Amino acid sequence: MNLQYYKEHILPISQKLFRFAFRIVGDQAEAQDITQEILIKVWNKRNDWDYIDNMEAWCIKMTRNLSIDKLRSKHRRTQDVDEIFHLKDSGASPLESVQSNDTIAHIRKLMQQLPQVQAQVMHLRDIEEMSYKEIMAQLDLTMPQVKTNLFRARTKIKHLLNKEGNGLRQHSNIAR
Amino acid sequence: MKWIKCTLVLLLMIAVTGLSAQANAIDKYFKQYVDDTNFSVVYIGPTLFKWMKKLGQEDNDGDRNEETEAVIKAVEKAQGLRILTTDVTPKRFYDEAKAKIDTKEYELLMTVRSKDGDNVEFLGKLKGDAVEELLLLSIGEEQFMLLSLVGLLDLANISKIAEEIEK
Amino acid sequence: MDYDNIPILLDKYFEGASSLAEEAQLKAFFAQDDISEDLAIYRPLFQWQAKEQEVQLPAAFEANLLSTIEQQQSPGIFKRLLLHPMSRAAAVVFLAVGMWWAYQTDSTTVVADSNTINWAAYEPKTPEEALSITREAMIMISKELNKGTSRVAKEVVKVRQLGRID
Repeated sequence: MNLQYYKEHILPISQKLFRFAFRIVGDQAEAQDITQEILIKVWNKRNDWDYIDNMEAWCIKMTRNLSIDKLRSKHRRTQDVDEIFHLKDSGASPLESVQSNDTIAHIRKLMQQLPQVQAQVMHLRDIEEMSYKEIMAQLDLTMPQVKTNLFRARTKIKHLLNKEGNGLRQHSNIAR
Repeated sequence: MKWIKCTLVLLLMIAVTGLSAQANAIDKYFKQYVDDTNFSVVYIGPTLFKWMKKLGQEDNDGDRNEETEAVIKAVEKAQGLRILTTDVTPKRFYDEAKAKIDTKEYELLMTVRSKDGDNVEFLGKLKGDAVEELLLLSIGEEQFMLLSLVGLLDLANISKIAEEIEK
Repeated sequence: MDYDNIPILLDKYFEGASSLAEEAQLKAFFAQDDISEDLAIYRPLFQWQAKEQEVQLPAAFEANLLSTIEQQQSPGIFKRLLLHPMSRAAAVVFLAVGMWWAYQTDSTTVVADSNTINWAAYEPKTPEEALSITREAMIMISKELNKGTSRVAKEVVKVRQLGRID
């Protein structure tokens, strides 16, 4: 029975889809809408379920595509624009990070500075704890591409954290 | 039933031609990139250019930025700015894009290479001496960008912008 | 747990060479309070990872979703009407009229032609943003243009002829 399969195999994925959408669009309400839209879409395509090898990868791909579409038609922040034209150093100013004392908000902000693919790979690895093979399937990347993007993403975050750390030793000890 | 079909087709044709029918390189050669989710797309149309001019005229912080003024002057006759960027397999897209362009229509004006391997190419659709559309291709390690600026452009004004910054 | 190898694991992590098990060790290590200062700089990163894993959809989400789906299961009146042959013709006419009306009232409507790009959808929402983007783009173009013209004389001459640069 379709509904049974849906409840057992597809609904459990919804949290991952939600977190992934949230990574891309940066807004929880929007991520929720996207997740709902995708899950309904998956239900409507139930005739195709038998032909799909990797259900999770399929769902993540659709989530990714929809999230990126929504992101593109959204208001572009000035910070994105600067980064595209390589005119300013896109690192968050130390002053900014002190003001956002909330660790989570702070790291999220750093993540937003990464190119999409890098952020997505790092998200699937560090938060969803997926293997490289799984990430390859979810994002349609080759193994070298996954490794390179992960390396670059983590290196950039390390660089940003070190930059802020110099002169802000106290910040990281306060953040709990 | 046939007449209904005809009406539909007619309506579609009217609707389609009513849309922005500006000739530009992206509509001509790169439509599929616009639909490709790997690309970010931005468009600034004639209406927005008009508003920008008004914005520039209002005194915001009391600080009339000379840079901004130079920019507004340079885009005075601009009709449309289209920017496509991707960080996914940028080199591949760049090579693909270059191959598509008809160099008789878009003449290579200049290539700028930097030390770290980044490349910027300026192509222009020329009408006599004037540049009707400026097409820019930029390839770096992480990003490929396609930029189209349509309108009768004076490169001298564009050049002045960077000079204002240097001051 | 062996804390001496944490710096080694950290290096591996940043090189993208760590295994999931090693990453789990790092997460566990950084969950503690008492960490040396030079390592503490990375604590936010690993704390963030742990916290982000806890982000969840609201409790009502699943229930809402299932009820939406169950509603879709029974074909509504609208669908039943459409199956009637005469109403198909009527539907086509309504559709045509609807599209025409939509085009009249909203010039950003794309009427089902997949060959034309609807550029309006990619416009920034405010003139301030448009100005910001245009500024950055023009500054970049200008810098590159000047970079190029200051280099090779031949190119300068060519550009001079075309664009009247002094």
